[in-house]
Amino acid sequence: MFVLVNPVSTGKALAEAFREEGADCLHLYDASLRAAYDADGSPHTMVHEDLAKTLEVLGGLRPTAVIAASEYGVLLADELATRLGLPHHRPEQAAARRDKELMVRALEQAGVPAARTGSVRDEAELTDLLARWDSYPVMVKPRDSAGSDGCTISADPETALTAFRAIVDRQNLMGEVNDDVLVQEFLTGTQYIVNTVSIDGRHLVSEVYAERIDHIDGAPVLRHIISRPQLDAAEAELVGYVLDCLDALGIREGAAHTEVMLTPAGPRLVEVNSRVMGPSLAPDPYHAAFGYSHQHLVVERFLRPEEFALRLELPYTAARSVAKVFLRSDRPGKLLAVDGARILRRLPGFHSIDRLPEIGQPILDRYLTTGASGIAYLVHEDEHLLLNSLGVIHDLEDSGALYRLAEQD
Amino acid sequence: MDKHAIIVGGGASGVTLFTQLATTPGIGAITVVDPNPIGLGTAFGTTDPLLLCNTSVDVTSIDPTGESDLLRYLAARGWPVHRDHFVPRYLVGQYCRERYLTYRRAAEQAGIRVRHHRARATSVGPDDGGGHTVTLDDGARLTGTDVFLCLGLDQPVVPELVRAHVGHPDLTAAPYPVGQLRRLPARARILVLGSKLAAIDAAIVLGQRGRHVVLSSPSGQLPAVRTRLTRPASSVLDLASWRQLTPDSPDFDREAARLVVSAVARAGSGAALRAQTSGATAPADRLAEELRLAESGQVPWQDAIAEIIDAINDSTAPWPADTRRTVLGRYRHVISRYISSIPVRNARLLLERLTEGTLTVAPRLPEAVTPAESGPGWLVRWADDRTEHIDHIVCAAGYHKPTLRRLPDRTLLLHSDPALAVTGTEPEISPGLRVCDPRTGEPERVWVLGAASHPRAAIVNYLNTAARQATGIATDLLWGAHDAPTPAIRVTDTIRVNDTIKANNTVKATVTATGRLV
Repeated sequence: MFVLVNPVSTGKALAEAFREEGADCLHLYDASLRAAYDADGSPHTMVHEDLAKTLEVLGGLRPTAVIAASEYGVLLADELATRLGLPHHRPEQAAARRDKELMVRALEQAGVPAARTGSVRDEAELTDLLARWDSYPVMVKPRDSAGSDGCTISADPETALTAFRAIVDRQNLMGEVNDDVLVQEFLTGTQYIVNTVSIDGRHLVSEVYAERIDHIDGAPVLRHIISRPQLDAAEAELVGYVLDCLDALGIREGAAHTEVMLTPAGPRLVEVNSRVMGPSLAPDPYHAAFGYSHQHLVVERFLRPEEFALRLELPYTAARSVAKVFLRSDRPGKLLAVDGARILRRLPGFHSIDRLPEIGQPILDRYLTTGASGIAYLVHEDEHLLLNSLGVIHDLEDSGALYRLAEQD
Repeated sequence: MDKHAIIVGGGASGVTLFTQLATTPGIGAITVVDPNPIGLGTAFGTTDPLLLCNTSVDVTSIDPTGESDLLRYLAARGWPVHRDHFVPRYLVGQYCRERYLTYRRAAEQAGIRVRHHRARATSVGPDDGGGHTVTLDDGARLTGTDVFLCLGLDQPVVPELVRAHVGHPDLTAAPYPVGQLRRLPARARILVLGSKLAAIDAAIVLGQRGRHVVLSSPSGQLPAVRTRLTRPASSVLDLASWRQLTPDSPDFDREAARLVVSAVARAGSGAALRAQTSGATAPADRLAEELRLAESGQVPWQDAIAEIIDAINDSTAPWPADTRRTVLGRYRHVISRYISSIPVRNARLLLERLTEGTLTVAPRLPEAVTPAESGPGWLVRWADDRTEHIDHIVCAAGYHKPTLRRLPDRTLLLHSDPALAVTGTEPEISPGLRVCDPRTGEPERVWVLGAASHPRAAIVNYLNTAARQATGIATDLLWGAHDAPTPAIRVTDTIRVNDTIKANNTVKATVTATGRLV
């Protein structure tokens, strides 16, 4: 029996991969995710309301592992696994794995280079921190959120203050109130994603992606990620840095999804997430490129650990490149048609579109990485052709030709 | 001994030649030198679906003969397309890239070593072993038996008017990539320097979000409008008379005009040329009238253009360079207006914006452009002494043709900007598109294609021209590979224009109007 904690978002894809392989799983939902629990038709589901009661039930089931099946499940999975004595990440770093400031402190303690980071609770603290740093631009963002939620690049104290006011004491994408706000030196360079699956503290690098992030209206907007089938020297160094970060944060078992910036001064961590990548993990395009998906490797690690261990001796490589495009609209409005899909689907490398928005509904989350406006997948052997197709998609988006919209009331 | 071919430039012309060399016997290795991905050059590497080719699918193909290869490519990918259509340029870039990859795989399977060296070539010089050495800007030197200069158009023309201001944040020196234009502020007032194809691309991209665009060029004229540029089903040009034209004849202009007019009349079942074009002087009125004629199928002149281009290229190739420059200079306006005319879709967009008042066409270039004294933008003074504030200037006056210069030690310098070509002399290019040895006058094993062939070819900004050239060069190499002299074909009753010569079921040559094998 495997316990999947809060299998929402891409956790559903992880649960599906376990189900596909016939694994016996319990889907454990926090009480705040009651709607997801109600919608889950799996044979074994449970709502977590009381730690002692949950531990009692799980203890009786004698699970093999407790797995965080989304960002919402990271802390609870840590706690349950520790209490049940199951193999999991190091408990001492549990808080650092979930808190962006503590994450930086853990890196500093382990001697791993990290971006200059501080947190502030009120405007006076912000003003004091900015005066001490006296260096711009800075990134102002919620201490605890995801999907670029509330992130603002601030070139001066006034912009930083405005950004602070916009997010402090407001509810974030995780449903929590931003009690304090993170201020971080603005990192320049190419941002990468390094996905890993770990076993007994040994890490398998499953996928490496370069990200295209545009800065639109002062906010970072993720346009696409594209896999790196082979790594150059700087990227290999970046991957080594990520493995140091995982060790510093006590990651030992299962999936991690790490974002890291390759700056002129070397790699600098953006964040580590001890779960599978979000917000969409349709498995087929990843299989078409790598021969596996992040979630299927997690399943392999737990169901067939000997088979998984063979991969630790293999070089990182891939037969094709896969790109994931977070489709976006250049303006708000109600969706009338997806005219650009006719073009998108004929581009070299087109694989599939996931989660196209509903006709008749307003376009949501134009600046967030939630995939609410649809996600396109492309897979091709030729990276240049793939990049050309990505350019066409972004030109379609930016010229307003992807979506036909009606003005919103 | 197998040849090592070095192709300098991996744009559409380079790919066209590559596909020929990859199937030519006797070639053991091909190296393509280009800093950018092969097939995705300046013209077709652009990704905005708004930007169209101004040549139809029928003639935008790496194979100049038979059914359009681009048509086959698009059909295989599900595009509902016709040979007349003007497709977005990115599709041609993807087509070139995919054909390159296909032919590369086939070449490698046939034992040919293929390599892409990502650098810019700066010169070509003789090698002690009898071949040629290509020097690259990354410090590398490549030696090959045959060098093919497929240099494209990548250096934008910056008009003298604003040259001193290059680097100013409110000046964009080239319209491509157009993403930079789309990021210009909404409701900005923008001066586009140019009124031909690149300027029209810029105006179309900029004409959103309430921006106002002023097109300005020395002529103040927009190109004509067409619905297609395709190869004619049957010849409309009197080629026998055309071949009799001699540039130094006092009757040349009159006779050439007569042949063109009668070709147009034949294409249009007798309709007079003046009935097919507008005599209006105002650009907006002229565009509106010519758009109406095109949309109602009254522009048969367009169906003579493809044949006229080929005839001009073939017949002027043997002319001395100065003669070609002088004669073609007299027809520059006609060539740029009709041979480089625009698709109806572009004409409609321009007319919409002219009508709604978000686009204007100035009759000539401004008298002066100076940075605004306070704040961003420019002060532009016009010939009528009117001064206006402009937020941003975009240069869209086209691209420099690549320039070759020969040094005394026989080194050929390769320049993308003629302003940099200050040393050396212009090399002689043979009618067969080979650079000639300055000591003997004999053609060397260095060829020019596409834009680089402009010293010999009149109309080079046209993929069909490069495709015909590539086919001709491959034929030369094919005959050379068999140690046979390149045959001279005389036009007879049994060998006609567009007839093909095949070997191993592959088309190896086509007979041109002048009887040349291409």
